Amino acid sequence: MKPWIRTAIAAAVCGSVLAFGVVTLRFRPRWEREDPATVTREIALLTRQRDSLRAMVYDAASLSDLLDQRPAGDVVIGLPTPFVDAMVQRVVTGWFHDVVLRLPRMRVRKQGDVTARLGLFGRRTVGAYELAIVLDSVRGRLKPDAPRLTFGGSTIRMDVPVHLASGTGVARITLDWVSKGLAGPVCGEMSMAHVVTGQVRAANYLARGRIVLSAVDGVLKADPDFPELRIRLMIDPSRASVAALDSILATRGGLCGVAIRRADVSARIQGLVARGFMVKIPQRFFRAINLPVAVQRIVPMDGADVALDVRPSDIVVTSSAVWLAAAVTTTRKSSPAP
Amino acid sequence: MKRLLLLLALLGSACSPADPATRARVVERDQLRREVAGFQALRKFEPGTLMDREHEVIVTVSDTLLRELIATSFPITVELQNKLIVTLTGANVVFRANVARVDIRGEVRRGRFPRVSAAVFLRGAIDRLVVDKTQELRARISIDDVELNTPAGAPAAFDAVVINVLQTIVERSLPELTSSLPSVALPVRLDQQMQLPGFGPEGALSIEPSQAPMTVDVARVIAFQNRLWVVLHVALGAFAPTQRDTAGAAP
Repeated sequence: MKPWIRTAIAAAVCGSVLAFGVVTLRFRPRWEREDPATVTREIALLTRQRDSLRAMVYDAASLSDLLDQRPAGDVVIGLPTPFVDAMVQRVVTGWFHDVVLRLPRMRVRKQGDVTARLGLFGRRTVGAYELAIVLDSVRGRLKPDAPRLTFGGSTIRMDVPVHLASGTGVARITLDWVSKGLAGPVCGEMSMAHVVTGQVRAANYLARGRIVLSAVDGVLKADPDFPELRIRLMIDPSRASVAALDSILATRGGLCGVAIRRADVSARIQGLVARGFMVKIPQRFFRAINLPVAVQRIVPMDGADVALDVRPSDIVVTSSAVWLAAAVTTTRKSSPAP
Repeated sequence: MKRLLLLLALLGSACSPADPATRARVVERDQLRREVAGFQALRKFEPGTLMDREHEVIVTVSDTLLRELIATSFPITVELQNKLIVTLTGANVVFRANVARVDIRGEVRRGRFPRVSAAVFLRGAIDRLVVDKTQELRARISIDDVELNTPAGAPAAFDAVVINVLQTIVERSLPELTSSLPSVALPVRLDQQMQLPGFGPEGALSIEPSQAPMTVDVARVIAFQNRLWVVLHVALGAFAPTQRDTAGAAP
């Protein structure tokens, strides 16, 4: 064999072996690229770190009052009381922030006899009046303040300060007057009607109730339970309206005028209005809300839906959290709906 | 050329079988790193400060349920390069040291020889929990390590050299294998908005309906006491009036 052939073969073999060695080193498995002694030292260090951290973290987690009295279940949802508090406050101030209070047509009546001292004739009945006030268009605005929530005993008690902001009202006043005695032949019967405008008087009320929590289909529902809220709506007639009313009454002169003045009709009207008008706020005004986290009955896995048997347990309300727990097991796997 | 390099590498691996002890130490080290990282993330929390109680809620899922949910995704078949077919048949979930460890078992075989297979074990963990676009809470599994063995009952199926070659191939396909694993949807629904219905006009009252957007993100995940604890950060936006619904029913 010629020397150059031997050299070429040797070079090819050496080159192949070298290439094989380089590639083997370059592509060797991950664990072979690491120094065993370094790995062993690192394991010892990491084990010490882990054990120390584990004790610290588990103590911290176990001592957390948040986790006290949490119920058992495959899926447990915990809503800290400050979270629920903040959520309810946002809902109350976000939803009820500006509620229109529009009074339905209301009617109040007052009637009676009017007596007056008539000189030599002494005190005599001069007439009878029948006063009717119809509230036709009264609007106010309800603005709640931040509610106060108290957690514990499986319930959430809630007090909502409600501010009745001022509004406007229009009242139609009718007066029927029947003169009696000496004034009868002179004055006879009289009817008058007048429209009085007024301001709804601002006032504060306190709605006290509770939030009933329930789990419906894995959804945590907060249903406010409030007794009917009764609001006394006070209306202050405007000065211009009262003056206009007085001027109408003042047009009556003579004995008739005396009788009307004795009746003090204007004051009686204002007295009637000053008693206010009782308005009932229906209990349904406070609506149920769904809290934002729920247990699902179907979970989509890759390519198929997995149906779950979800059995919620009782809702637990502690001073630190509201807990919803459910026993969950997989039941069947099915293709997702198209 | 690439194939030639791979072939040389495989031959190299096959000719120098790995020391099992070295390999086990590296796997143990990697798991310890994950565990320490998991604890480090919780170190800053003092007792009672595990979460921001005004803006965060907690969802816990038992390891039993998680195991059942993961099991519903199996079997999974993945075809790797070199016509290797990996069939993953089941998984086990163990919570240890703030790590939700997932061990997956299966088999690997060559497409041309479907009757000859090796047992494959994937070791990994649930390391990413995200709220996806459909507001579902999903967990992703990451694989740290793969181990191939001759299946029990078939001692002559593959000799050690072949097992080493297959091991190298499967290891190089870990990203592909990881991406083929299912994301596990936890059975928890997270709302994207809060809707408040209108009221009335009824009697003296009328209230316009309104809604507020809600954003939910995973703040941190803790695995202990055989449960996965997921802390979710909830941000509720401003309420804005919406179209009145005719029924005025509760949401």
